[in-house]
Amino acid sequence: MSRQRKSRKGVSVVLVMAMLVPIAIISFFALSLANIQRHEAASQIASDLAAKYGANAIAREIEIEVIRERAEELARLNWTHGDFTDRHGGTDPSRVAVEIEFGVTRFGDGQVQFQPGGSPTNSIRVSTGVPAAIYSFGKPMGAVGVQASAAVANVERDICLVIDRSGSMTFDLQTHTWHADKSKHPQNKMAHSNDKFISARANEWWWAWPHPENSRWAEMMPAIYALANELNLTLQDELLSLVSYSSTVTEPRYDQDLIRKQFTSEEATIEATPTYNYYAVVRDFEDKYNKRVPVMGGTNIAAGIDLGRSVLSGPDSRNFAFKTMILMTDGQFNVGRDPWLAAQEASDIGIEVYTVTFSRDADIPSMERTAEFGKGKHFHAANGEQLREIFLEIANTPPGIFIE
Amino acid sequence: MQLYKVTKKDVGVSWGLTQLPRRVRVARRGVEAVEAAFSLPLIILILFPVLHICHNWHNEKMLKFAAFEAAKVVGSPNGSISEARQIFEEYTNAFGIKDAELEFEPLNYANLVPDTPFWVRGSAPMRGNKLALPLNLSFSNRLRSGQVIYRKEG
Repeated sequence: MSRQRKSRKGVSVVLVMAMLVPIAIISFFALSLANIQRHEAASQIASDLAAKYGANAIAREIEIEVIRERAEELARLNWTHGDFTDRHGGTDPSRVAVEIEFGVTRFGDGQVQFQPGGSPTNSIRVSTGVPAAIYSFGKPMGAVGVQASAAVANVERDICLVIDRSGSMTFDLQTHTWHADKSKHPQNKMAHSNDKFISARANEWWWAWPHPENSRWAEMMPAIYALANELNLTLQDELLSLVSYSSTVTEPRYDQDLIRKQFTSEEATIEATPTYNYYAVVRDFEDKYNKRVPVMGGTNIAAGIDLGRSVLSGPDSRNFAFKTMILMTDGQFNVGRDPWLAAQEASDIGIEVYTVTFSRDADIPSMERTAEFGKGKHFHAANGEQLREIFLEIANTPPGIFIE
Repeated sequence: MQLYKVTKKDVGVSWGLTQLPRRVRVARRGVEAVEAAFSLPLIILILFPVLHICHNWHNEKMLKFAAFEAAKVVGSPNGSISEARQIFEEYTNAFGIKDAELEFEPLNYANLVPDTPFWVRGSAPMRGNKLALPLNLSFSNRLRSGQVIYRKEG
């Protein structure tokens, strides 16, 4: 029996020791893998930041050699893992391989492609590489090269502003009624007419023309002017087009001379084809809907998006430019198909759809969804001043986009 | 007293204790447990530090990524510091990092002129962000941090 007990002693030790070797190998393999991943992440961040700065600097027409020097420095310094104030702590920046290429980015058929060289330079590609240690029993026993690259294009933008001109745009933004204000409307000649038949129908006039101060329309116009002004100040040469939408209706309205006429509202209208003359676009638009064409009809947002898409993909737009659609609505779509389906189609051909809701009646969730499908961003403005800030932010959205 | 003779039939088929006579089982009870008690720490000594290091590296990577997102916001021409902090907080919360803080250098980042370099560092204390291991392998409460350097855009 003693012999039997002796023969079983140390069995667990042998088993554990036998397992220890594969466990150690697996552990150090995991450690090396984690280290490689850490280096890959750092490499990507270093490349992204250097490329993003480089594209911005290209837009500001800084000399290429200066950009190269600064971008390379950024790529190297972002490898430091040392103390906050020690720029050169941690990984030795000289061990980081950095390659910088300048080139041209072309757009077409929904594809974006970086081509090294070419003119005019609008893109930069930064590639970084560094050796990541492979660990074995606590000590580095070798290294594998980790590489990452990022290309950022500093592109021109073609912007299409898609504006809601449904009847609700004439509503009072503050009190949310137009009835209360009818007698004060400076342009409402009907209210002050000596003809009682006409003065009794003053409400019908109010339905068709936006109040020059209190209506949503009146709050929106300064924001659009601000956008036009800001586009003039940006470093890029954007092409601006303007589309409006409501729904197809034919209804009698009193015109500015108090003559009752049949007015027809189009579902969607191209107010301006792509142009660099931003101010004229907005001035003509304001003039048209304040004096000649009534603001009326339902809200067919999808029709506006579809027409905006055809303008941005049409012959007057630039193939190489980045396409942005800014969709503005004060209400809820009550005509036509779901707007997010239209936004998806626009996105499929490379158009980024921003949505801006205005007033408390707006259907924010639907417009958030539309922006999501359009790969853009949603904003909400409670008043004209907020709308202005949003338009300025969109106008100043950095034009650099990551293409790799 | 005649000793019980252990036959092949008793031990040859299996290592299972149930097949041994009671007297033999009593004599050998706990041998494996004692041996394992001496051997397992060796495995733990390898496994736990590896888990600890990998987790720290992961946190550091995530902090660096959150700092990277914050730097992009601060670096943009109209970027605000409050927006950068919000972005940083959103990312660190999503990564499950607690009590993370964001620092900037130089401190007057609000007045940075274009092309000025600045540093953004996200950090988080070890306490509350380490793995729930039975052994405390962090000998200090040193901050884990991820830092990025960028230049103000124009």
